[in-house]
Amino acid sequence: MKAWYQMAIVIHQVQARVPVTIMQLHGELDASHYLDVIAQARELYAAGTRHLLLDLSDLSFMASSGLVALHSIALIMRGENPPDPAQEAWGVAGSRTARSSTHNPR
Amino acid sequence: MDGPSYLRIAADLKNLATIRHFVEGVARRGNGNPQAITDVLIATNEAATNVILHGYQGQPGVIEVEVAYDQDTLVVYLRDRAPRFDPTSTPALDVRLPLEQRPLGGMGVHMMRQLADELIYRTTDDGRNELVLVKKGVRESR
Repeated sequence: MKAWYQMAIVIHQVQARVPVTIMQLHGELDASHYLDVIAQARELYAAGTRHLLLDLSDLSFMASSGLVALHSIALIMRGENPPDPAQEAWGVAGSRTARSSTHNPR
Repeated sequence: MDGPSYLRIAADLKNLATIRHFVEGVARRGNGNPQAITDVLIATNEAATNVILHGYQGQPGVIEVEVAYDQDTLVVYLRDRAPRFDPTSTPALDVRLPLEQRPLGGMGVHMMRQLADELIYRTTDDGRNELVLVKKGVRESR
């Protein structure tokens, strides 16, 4: 049986009428990787990216956590600061010990 | 009913792909319809993710996955020993809300409800959580 499937993020820059950053996702996007995708988008926005194109054509699977990533990226690129989904799900450093009413199952 | 296939694996997000590929392998060997199998894989993945994130909440644990055909119906059983968590009792999600007003997350249970024909939560006699996902019409005629 195969082990953990990696997901790769590849970044390209192209110059159109405006500079466009292309983020290509390869593999399977589930809850084990979606925070990496959000973090990458935060880094790009902080570095000045304002036009981001997501290329999902090589994704063979996307879970609802992938939708959370897309939602978060849309907000990030609008200049908003969406809550960290990891904090929502785990509590700080995964130490939450009791379920809270704010738990939002994916 | 075909003999069940069984996987026992650590409740770790890194194992989600292994769970998906296990279920897919059993379903395909049973000559299942690819689109219906994909629905089951998505629903199973969401259920397992919830067990890991909201059941065990990062604590060590085990997920047991059992897959079996009952004629043309594919049934996936997910069992765990996390504190009781019934995903079928969560309120329905309003998917019509604009992006700005919609909370992050919450889509997993919605997808499970949409993609499975039946979603049953129960507690086993020995106190484990058991979620049963039922998908009808999966098996193509043999």
